Amino acid sequence: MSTKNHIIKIVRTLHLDDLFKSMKECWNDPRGGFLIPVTVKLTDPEYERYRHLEINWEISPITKDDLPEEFSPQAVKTVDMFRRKTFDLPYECMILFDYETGNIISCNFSDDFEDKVESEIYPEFLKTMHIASIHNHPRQYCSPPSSKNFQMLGLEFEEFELISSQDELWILKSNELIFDDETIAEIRKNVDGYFNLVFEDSCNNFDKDYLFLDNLNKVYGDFLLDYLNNDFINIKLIRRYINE
Amino acid sequence: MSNYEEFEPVLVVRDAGYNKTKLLSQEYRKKVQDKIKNPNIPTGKYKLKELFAKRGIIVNPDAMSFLYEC
Repeated sequence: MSTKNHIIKIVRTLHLDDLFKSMKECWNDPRGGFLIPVTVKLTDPEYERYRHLEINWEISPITKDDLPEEFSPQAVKTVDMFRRKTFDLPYECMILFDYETGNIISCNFSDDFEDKVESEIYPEFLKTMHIASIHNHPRQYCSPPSSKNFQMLGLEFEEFELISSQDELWILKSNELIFDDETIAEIRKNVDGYFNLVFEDSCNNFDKDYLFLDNLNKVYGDFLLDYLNNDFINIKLIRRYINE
Repeated sequence: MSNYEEFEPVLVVRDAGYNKTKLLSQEYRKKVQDKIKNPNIPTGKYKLKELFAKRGIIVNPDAMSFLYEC
């Protein structure tokens, strides 16, 4: 069997589209050498899963006015599409993306309905990028960040953290200072303490479940905005109401 | 070209937020009550006093009417 037949067999067997497109050039190459410009694209399975999530076109869009001015139009589209894809999900999804290009860097889903999502990141490879993350708070979870959040305050490579819930978009920015573990632990402790107090107050004053949860979201969210924006000069927390 | 094995990865973890079902359970409420009423736990109502004090508001945790009392 000739070399040409060998290649055709490989192409047909493996469905290497890029190689198939370049075959014509290969045959017509007058240099006498044998050149196979192979590009095999390997797709991350989690990203593949994200790509195929159903898009909800019924919800209100995220616009550039909802996001920090540093976000490019492509990044705005990335955030809008993330919200549309994850709005109806009963579990958590997180993507890291470049807020200048809008390119998605990593994509992960929570396993077995855990209350968290994890991603293994190599910061060395992100040095030329401008990294932001976004994750969703599914319908059965409260909208504001919980006390377990705020890891990004200690991460050098991440400048923005976004949280997409049913009605709100939370944006946490801290790109000037990296907080030490002790400070982050203090923030978590204060946030947890205040949440407990609001929770108990809401339990006493609201019989209906939805009123209790609405009040908890509102009062606890207001506290977060006041506490983080006023007590720390390097933290900016923004709450945007989306479905209004 | 750098190799991934040369570097230490960072585990990025993001919480899903407070679970509503868990919040509505009696067990959770009992746990919170124990926390906020215990003066030895710094995340209780006595911590709130400190947070308000930073904003120039003086409060007496023991007299705060909105707190649950058995």
